[in-house]
Amino acid sequence: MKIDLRNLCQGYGKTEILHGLNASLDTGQVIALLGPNGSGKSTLIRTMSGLMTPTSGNVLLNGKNLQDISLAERAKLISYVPQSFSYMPYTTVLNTVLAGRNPHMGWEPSETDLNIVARSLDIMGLGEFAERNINELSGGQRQRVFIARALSQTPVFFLFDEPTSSLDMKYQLETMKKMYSIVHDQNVGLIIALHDINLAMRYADRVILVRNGRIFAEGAPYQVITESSILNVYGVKTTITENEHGRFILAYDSV
Amino acid sequence: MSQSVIILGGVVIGYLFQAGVTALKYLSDDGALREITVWLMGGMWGASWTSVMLLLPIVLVCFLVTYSHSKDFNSMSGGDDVAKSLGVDVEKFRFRSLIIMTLCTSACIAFTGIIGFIGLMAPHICRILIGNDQRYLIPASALMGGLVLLISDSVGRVIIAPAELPVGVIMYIIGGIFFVYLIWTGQGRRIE
Repeated sequence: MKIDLRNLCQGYGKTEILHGLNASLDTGQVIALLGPNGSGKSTLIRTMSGLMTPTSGNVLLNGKNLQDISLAERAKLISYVPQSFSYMPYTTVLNTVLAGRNPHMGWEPSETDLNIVARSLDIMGLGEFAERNINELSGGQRQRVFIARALSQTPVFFLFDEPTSSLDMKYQLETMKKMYSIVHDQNVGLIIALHDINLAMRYADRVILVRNGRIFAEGAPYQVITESSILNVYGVKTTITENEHGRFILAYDSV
Repeated sequence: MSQSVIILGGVVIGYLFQAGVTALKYLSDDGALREITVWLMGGMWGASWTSVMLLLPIVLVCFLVTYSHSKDFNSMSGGDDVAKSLGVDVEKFRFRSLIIMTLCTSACIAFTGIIGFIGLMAPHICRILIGNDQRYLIPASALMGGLVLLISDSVGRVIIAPAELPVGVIMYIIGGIFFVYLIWTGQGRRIE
């Protein structure tokens, strides 16, 4: 299964944010969207999720226009984790994650639904918090709950908008590592907007570098993430080093 | 729509309707003025089996329709974007829910007058007691609303017996104390 962007334009009011993007995004890959603030990453993720209708051009899911697929059907294929979260107090972690099964389940969750929820909680290390109210958790724990909800939705594509921003270093790495395994083991797709270029270098199979609503470069991380491309897109001077664990970027000055 | 816009919208609409009520009072004769005043205080004087039979089908249909969408209400707790990504047509759902709630509330109020705070207190008490799963919260809130009204009305009937204090007055007192308590204990921060 794949998502195709065909000359995709998107904007708010008269301000155009995305200018004619073309790309083909396949399952079985972690695809990182990189770019500075305001470059259009979140808008692109929301448009690919079907939350925004393109001003022109198309988002195709397996050749079919996303807007022509019913919301109920779309919810089984795409799960979305937003940048900022809202939640209802007094909702347990279990019920929050169970909401991810809503597109699949009837009135009561089946044994399968509960197993999937339990597995999602385990993957995100939340088993012991299942009966806790979500308002009693820290920001990072809550973020893990919302990722677990997306996991329990068992979609074909995960669309994550900065899901690791509130997580500490350990959980950032663990979350990315687990998502990498899920993507490759289950042949699903993860399209993830990131600010941490090192996470993208380490876990992305493919990187799309966005600048001013246009794709500046795309390809394998080692091809796209270079000192000159980062200077061009972010206006930051960097050094890329390599050791036995992989490639790493160090930012040392802004231009 | 932001929360502040909703709150300001509510305040503005409240003033507009207040202007309408004031105009009605001004234009009414003595008998009608008394009836308006009593209705605005809210009470159970109009309670009769005829009014129950008239209200029952409306309330029952509204309840069943709302209850059947419990899952969608659960999805909505994650915000509009998440609800939409979970398959809820947010705009349609919100509009339909508003119509149903308005129909149900206005039908009840037509018989009882304005009795405040029940709609705020009952769900909040239930949320504290049983959590936020709407499959249980909606019926529990409906029962709790009835229970709170029953207790308040009973208090109103005995507190200055043989005279009777309108239940609306009792509700404002209890509701006020309840929310001051929530704010005082810090739980008010969780009212969203």
